Amino acid sequence: MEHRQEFHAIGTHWCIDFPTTLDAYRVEFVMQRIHSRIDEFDKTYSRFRPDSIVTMMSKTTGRYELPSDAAPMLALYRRLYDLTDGAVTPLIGQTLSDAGYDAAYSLKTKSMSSPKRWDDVMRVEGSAIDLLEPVLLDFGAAGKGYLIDIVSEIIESEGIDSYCVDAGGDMRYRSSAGEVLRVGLEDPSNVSQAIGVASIVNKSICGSAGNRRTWGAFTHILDPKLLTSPRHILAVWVIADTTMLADGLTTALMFVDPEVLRPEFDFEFAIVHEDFSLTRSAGFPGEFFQS
Amino acid sequence: MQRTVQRVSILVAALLPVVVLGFYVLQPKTPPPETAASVVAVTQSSSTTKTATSATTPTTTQQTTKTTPSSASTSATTTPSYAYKDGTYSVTATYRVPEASAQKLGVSLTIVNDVITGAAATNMATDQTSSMYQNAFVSGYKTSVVGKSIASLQLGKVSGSSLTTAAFNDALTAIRKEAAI
Repeated sequence: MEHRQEFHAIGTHWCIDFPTTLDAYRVEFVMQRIHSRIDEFDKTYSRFRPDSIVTMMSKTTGRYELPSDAAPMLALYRRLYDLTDGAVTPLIGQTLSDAGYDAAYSLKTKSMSSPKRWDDVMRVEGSAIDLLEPVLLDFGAAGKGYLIDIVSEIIESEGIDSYCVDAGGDMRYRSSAGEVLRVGLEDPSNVSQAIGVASIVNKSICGSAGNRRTWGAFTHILDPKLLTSPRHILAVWVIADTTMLADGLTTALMFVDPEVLRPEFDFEFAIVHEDFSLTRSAGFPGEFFQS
Repeated sequence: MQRTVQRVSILVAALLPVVVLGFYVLQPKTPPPETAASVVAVTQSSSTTKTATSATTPTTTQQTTKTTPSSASTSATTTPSYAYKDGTYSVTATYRVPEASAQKLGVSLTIVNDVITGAAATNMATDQTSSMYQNAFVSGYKTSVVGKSIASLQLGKVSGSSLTTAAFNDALTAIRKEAAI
């Protein structure tokens, strides 16, 4: 993998690897498509930009027709919402913002309240949302993973079957030759260390940990009922067929036991608890360094 | 079967306070603000204890818990901002089971820079059945992870907490400056 493209978008660092055999002009062409698609995604879902649909929804009620690819993401959100008893919810936006994770990154906590119930606020039909009252949505739990899938599908539509799309440590990897990618699992107490290595082939891996995006008592993950950030888990990794699923499940595992999610989805996981003890699925491909 | 369930419950009820005690044994060096974070940890453990205890029959769960802080390798170099002294802390818990004498279990925690870097449980049971359950607990308890330098590993990628935007980090720096004044 020689053609490496790095850039910043949707608040994180992207790194896309293309096969060495690919012509530079084709890489450039694919990258143009990718950039414009990421921009479109951002304009729809970002609660950090004033011109996004999500920002508009926080001000005005009505029926919103989102791009057609919103449907799978909204469907996954609904499933996770039901399975986690409302802990994973796009309605967390206002609560996160009040906690200080707002469009201006004020990091100053205002008076916070639990998000409203899904059915009281909106009706979802495919990619359309009927909004009964203005509400600030947040698609941070699965949105980035979904965008990685969308970008990957653009790459695949160009006939490229080996690549790695990495956005801030969440990634989708494909190798037509079946080459294994060794992914270091960052030590939540020391970013220069890894507590294990996952070996993935033609899968996605997402990780979630509270050690970087932290202010005051909060991380970027909030428990909608307790209005605190979960601290009993230091880090979670999920390996799945799609990055959207892997991303959404890392957040869900902060709130519910793996047993709740295992019968519903096909995935492997590893959880590092606050005492550095490890819970993992037996099929998690890789190794862990144990004391 | 009934007795088995009871024994497991008692073991669980006895072990969780050990973990809680592990925290209490540690001597906080500087109270705020790190202590606040530690208190959260203790509270969380306590609430778990309550749940576990309520599942058992209260009449049979007499637990006498002795603590012996041995503070073995207290390698002096700690910065004053940490709440706990670096070192290895050990506690021994004693609990009663039906039809056997009091059973003991040892737990030790290693703290470095306020992070539990190691935790181990020692089977000290004399009763055969208790020993079996303690063995199961000890083997489970040992699966704690430790870090290895990323530079020493042959890695294609690293996954963990997402790298943050410059905007977020700038805001954080600004807040810290404000807080320091």
